[in-house]
Order: sequence, then C-alpha cells, then structure tokens
Amino acid sequence: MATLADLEAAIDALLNHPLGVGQYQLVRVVEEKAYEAYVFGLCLRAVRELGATPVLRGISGLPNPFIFRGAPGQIHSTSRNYGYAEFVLNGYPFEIHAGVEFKGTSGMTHELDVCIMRGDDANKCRQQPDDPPPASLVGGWECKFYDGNLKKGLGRAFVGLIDDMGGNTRLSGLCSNSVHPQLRDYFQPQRRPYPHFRLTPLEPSNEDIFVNQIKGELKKMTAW
Amino acid sequence: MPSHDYSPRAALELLIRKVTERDPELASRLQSAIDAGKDVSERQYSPHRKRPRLYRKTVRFSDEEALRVAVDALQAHFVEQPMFVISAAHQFAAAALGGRVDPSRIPRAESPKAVATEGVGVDKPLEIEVQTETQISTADEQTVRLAPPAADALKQQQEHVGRLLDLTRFEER
Repeated sequence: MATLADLEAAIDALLNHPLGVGQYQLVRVVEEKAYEAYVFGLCLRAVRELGATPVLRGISGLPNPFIFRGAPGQIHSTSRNYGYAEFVLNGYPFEIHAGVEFKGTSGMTHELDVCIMRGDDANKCRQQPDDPPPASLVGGWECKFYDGNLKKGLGRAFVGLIDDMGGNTRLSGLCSNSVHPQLRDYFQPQRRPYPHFRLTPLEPSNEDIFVNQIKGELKKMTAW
Repeated sequence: MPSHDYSPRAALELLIRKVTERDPELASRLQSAIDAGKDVSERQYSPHRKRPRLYRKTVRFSDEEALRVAVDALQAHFVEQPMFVISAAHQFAAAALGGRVDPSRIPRAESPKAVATEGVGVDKPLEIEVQTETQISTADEQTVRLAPPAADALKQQQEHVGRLLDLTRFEER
C-alpha cells in the first residue's frame, strides 16, 4: 500500500530533478515562445517532407544564433538579427516567420505567432520597409502553451484576426498543447481556423495532421 | 482494497504545499488550472416533457480530478516544454544555414537541393529575445538560449510523472 511518505518522495523527485523547478525558473518567461519555436519546427519538417530544403536566414546576416522575437515586430526590423526560414517549391519562393505583424484588410495590424508567406512579398517589405499585406499570407497559426484548459477568448480573438486577413489565407489554425471542449465546437464550421489541440510531441498523430495539412496545401498551390 | 493510506484530498494538499514551498508562482498556476473547474451536462426533468432537458453547468473538480489536473500541469512544464525544445532543435538541425540573400535571385525552375545544403545536420543555437526592441527598461538578459536537455534526463522526468500518476490514481484494486 502506498504511503504519504512514498507520495512525498515521488513529488520531491519530480520537483528537484534538473528538469524540475530549477529549470522552470530559468525558462518560465519564454515557455510560450518555446512552443512557437516547436510549431515553427513542424513547418520546417513539412517543407523537408515535400523534398525541399528550408534555409535559415537572418535579417542582418547568418542566423547564428537563430533569434525568435520576444514580442510582435515588423518584418523589416533590424534591431536584432531575427531569424526566418526560406524555401522554394517548384520555383515559388516562400518564407516562414515567427512573431511578424501583418496588415489586415481593415488596415489594422495583427501579429501571427507562426506563418508561411510568399517570399516575394516578404523581400519587398524588407527592401521598402512595410507590413506585409494580407494577400501575402499563405498560412497563419496562433500558438498557445497552457498548463490548464485553453481560454475561450483566444479562439474568438483568432477568428477575428483571420477574418481580417481576408479570404486568400489558405491555412489557419489555433495550435496548443492544451484543449477546451467548447472551442472544439466553436472551430467546427468549415470557414473557421483548424483546432490543432493537443499539438505536442506526446501526440505524434496530431503532429502528423498539422504537417500533412501544410504539405497538402503547398503542393496544391505550387501545382505539383 | 484501497491501494493508498491517504485520501485524494490529502494527496492534493501535499502536492500543492510542496510546489508552493519551491515556487509560489508555479503553485498559483496549478491552483488556477484546478479552480477553472469543468463543464458537465445536467438533466432537468419536467412532468410536461417526455425527455429530460439537458443544460450545461460549470462545477468544481473532485479532489481526484484536481490531482490529475495538477499533475498534467506539472507534466506540461517539466516534460512537454523540454520536448518542444528537443523537437525544434531537431528540425532546425535538418535545415540549411544561409546569410542574407534576395530570393528573387533564385531561378524559377532551379532544383531546391541545388540552392543550399550548408549547415544541414548541424545543430543550430536557438535563442528567444527577452529584452524586446521597444522596451525602455533593461532586462538582465537580452536573450535566453533554448538548450535541449539530455535524453536520459527527459526520460527520468517522464518516469517521475508516471510514478506520480500511479500514486494519485484511486481506483479500488
């Protein structure tokens, strides 16, 4: 029979481990961004599985280290050597970004946690500083790391964001390691973003769904 | 026959107390996850209706459910977070590394494989900006490195979570 002492020892083993509270205290401020990095990595995987090689670049030079923005920013910002990824499919250039602000159809700007956009538009917005137009967005994802249930308001906010990006966005989704039962229902209509709930390495099949959606849409776009 | 000499409530109080002692902010997050409660479907019977009417009600978690919520939250921080970093590091290592190039210079029909392969298979340091470009106050660190943990360390933590789940499961055996 398990005793309270057994339970206490198990709790201590978890909390005192090098990947326990100590590690948490080092990285707590960037946990959300670490999740975005993970989703960005899944986009890279989708590109490689299509047979292309994504190339990591920095706005000011070689991305060593590869730097993710800590807050929403402009694609043309050179305050740090922010990283992005570039790839070409059947001659069509694309880029993958994190934390970049886009112009909506209303004129208001919106941050996309992770996005795939047309490479030509990205380059133009760096050369002549501007926010990318809504038509340049191919896929956009909101990324939320949660240790409890997702907040419903996130879903409503993201639906509004994608709505303002116009009708040309081919892929959109709310990615989270967590879930909210009502949000599943909210995202059911066809025109709404895809609910990539429980998108985590603990659920490889959900990772496959995310990656395969990107692959399918990019193949369709580039007439492969 | 019970498999524990403690109740779910005692287990939950011990867990929250231990986490609070180590990190009150983390304990607060666990408490928030527990206090959010859950939705259930309730039935309302009426003599005027053939079938009961269903309605949604938000209720608190039971002690055992709250324990599960708390352990899942700890798993999110101590197991899933390192897994995100490992996954990202793996995917970035498989990408090529290039400097600043104008994509319009890439000929339309050129094979992607011919464009760049430098850096494929090489680990790439990943960092997250802490001092953002619009912040006036100065953070102690400018960026935080995302360092993937050793595989055996992650495996140990997964085992620790598994052990905790076993000790907080209260079905009769």
